[in-house]
Amino acid sequence: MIVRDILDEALQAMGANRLRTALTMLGMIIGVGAVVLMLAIGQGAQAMVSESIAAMGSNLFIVLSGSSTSGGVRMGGGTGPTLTANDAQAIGELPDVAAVAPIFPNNAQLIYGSNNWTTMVAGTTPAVFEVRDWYPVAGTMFTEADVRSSARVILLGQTVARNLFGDEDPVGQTVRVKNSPFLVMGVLGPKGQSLDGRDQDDTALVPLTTAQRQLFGNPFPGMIRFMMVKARSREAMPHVERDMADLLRQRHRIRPGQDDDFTIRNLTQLAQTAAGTTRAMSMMLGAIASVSLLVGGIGIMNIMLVSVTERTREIGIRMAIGARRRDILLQFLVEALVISLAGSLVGAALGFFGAWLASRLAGMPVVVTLWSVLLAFGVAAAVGVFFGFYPARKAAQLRPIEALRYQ
Amino acid sequence: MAPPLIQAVDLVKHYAFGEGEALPVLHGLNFAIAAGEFVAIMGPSGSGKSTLMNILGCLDVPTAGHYLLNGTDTAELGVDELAELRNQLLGFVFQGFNLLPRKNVEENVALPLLYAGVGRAERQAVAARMLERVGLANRTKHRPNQLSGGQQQRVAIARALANSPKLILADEPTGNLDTHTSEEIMALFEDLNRNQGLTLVLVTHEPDVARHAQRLIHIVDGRIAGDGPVDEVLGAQAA
Ligand SMILES: Nc1ncnc2c1ncn2[C@@H]1O[C@H](COP(=O)(O)OP(=O)(O)OP(=O)(O)O)[C@@H](O)[C@H]1O
Ligand SMILES: [Mg+2]
Repeated sequence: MIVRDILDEALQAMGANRLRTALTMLGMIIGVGAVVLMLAIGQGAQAMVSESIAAMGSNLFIVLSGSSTSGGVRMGGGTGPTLTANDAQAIGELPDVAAVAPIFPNNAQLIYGSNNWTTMVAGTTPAVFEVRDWYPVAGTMFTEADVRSSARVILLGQTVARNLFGDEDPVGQTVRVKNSPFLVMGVLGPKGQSLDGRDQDDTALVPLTTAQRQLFGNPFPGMIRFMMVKARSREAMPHVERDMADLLRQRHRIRPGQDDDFTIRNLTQLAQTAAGTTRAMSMMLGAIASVSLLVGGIGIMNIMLVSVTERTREIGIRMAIGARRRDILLQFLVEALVISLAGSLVGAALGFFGAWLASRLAGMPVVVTLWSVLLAFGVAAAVGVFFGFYPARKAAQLRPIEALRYQ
Repeated sequence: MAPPLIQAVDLVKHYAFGEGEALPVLHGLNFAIAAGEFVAIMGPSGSGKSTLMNILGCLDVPTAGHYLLNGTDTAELGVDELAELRNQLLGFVFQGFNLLPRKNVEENVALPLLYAGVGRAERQAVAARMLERVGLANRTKHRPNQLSGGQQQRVAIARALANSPKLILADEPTGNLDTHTSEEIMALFEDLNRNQGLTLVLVTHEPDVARHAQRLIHIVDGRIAGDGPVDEVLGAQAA
């Protein structure tokens, strides 16, 4: 028997019971559709996380004022102001510290012409550009001199620039922050979403001293909210973390046994954890979807078993006129395979459509890879063969005379 | 001398039922049928005629004894070799026609050719020729359930002829047909035997049907009670 004849036989048998064939296929459609959709969503989430990680900058610590635990009671980081710009400078002199950016942020309204936009304005030093790997795409960065002189200059994030200036070029214009005029020195490059979903481009940078003295009137002079520290390498991170803790305890005169008044977070580690969590989540999505594929496969097996029983007499007739065992085996196996492959074709199409809908309507990041499509088809073929084989073998092993006598 | 087409040697068949019990049906049959013969088999209901036909058709295997088909002991053949024998050497005609209801007449007739690995175009050509042979050239696209019993049996005969077998086995082929249609079918069989040299073995309950054959084997209780020219055996029976 040639392939085309076997296929014809399969299609004829499937056509004889269309509703049943369609329902059996539905199991595969749902299974493959779910796998494709879940893989797309999982890979989309992973892609977004790795993008955020790349945008965050590498080998980063964040050092916050206040202890994470105080006398056994957990406190939010950054509660009591304990860190100063001098602390930041001291940390900057530790070995294997590439750069330190002290940050003193607050919310403020920016006004340009008739437009206004409220955003987080962060006072910092030029080190922030290196620490965050974040440079202006238009205009220039501010300098140490600007920090020393508390210059009224500002760098805008993409979101802020777009909302205040629209298509206009912001560089060289003046915006008002808390009623003081600020010269826009530049516009920062796009950073996208952070790991916790914030828009990192919705921010503006000003020199640290400008923020401390002029904008937000600091009750404790020199105090900063937190600092970002970049280590020279991934390998250096553990000892940089220890050195920073020792240095800060010493500078803050904390006696042994007393709690820290600061909190150090390894952002790179957090990011890795987030990436790991996303990977686990996406694998879990895939696994759950695979269960429906399995159920679809069992549906095929169930129907094929029923079909073999129903068609016992037909099998007997075919054997009587010369069908060999492998002819019967192939006939039923190909039938199962056609059902599972046709189902997976429709399912994959529906999965793509679902992924497209998810990204269009829900704004979910989705990634459809050739790999995930091939996987879905491979699994569907395997399901067809695996679950089709037992019924097909059962058919092939019937004894001709018993099959013929079957009522 | 060429071996007989069919040779049964001490053919025994028991049906197992219950726990280790066996119902003996054939008690050591010995006979031979040469190529070109037209043999009828008669006997009371339950005497083992169908059981014997199934063995002759390689659909079932004897419990003991030997069945030689075309000189080969069928006990030495595997299931796939037996399938090939059924495909190439044998044609079956059943009382209940046994056509595939989903396939049309032409596809039914072409089915043995499919398993012989014959290509599509040739399958169609052969099926058309066979249907012409049995007088159904104008019914090729009908479904079996759109035909009368006599027509269905003709289709079954065309299917049995498709692979140009040497031997046709027919178990009560006219059992479901009226006298007139039976005569037509028997005329067809007689023609196949006379003009194409086909060997025919046919089970029947009708002496009139049996009279179309040259030789009659009479089976009673799984034993041969008579074997010879039809009229002789029928006469012995009547006596
Ligand atoms: N599969 C089977 N299992 C058990 N016993 C069987 C089986 N097939 C037939 N028999 C028994 O074997 C005996 C012979 O049956 P068989 O069908 O060969 O008779 P037959 O001569 O063809 O009868 P009929 O003229 O009614 O068709 C019967 O007693 C029947 O009950
Ligand atoms: Mg019978």
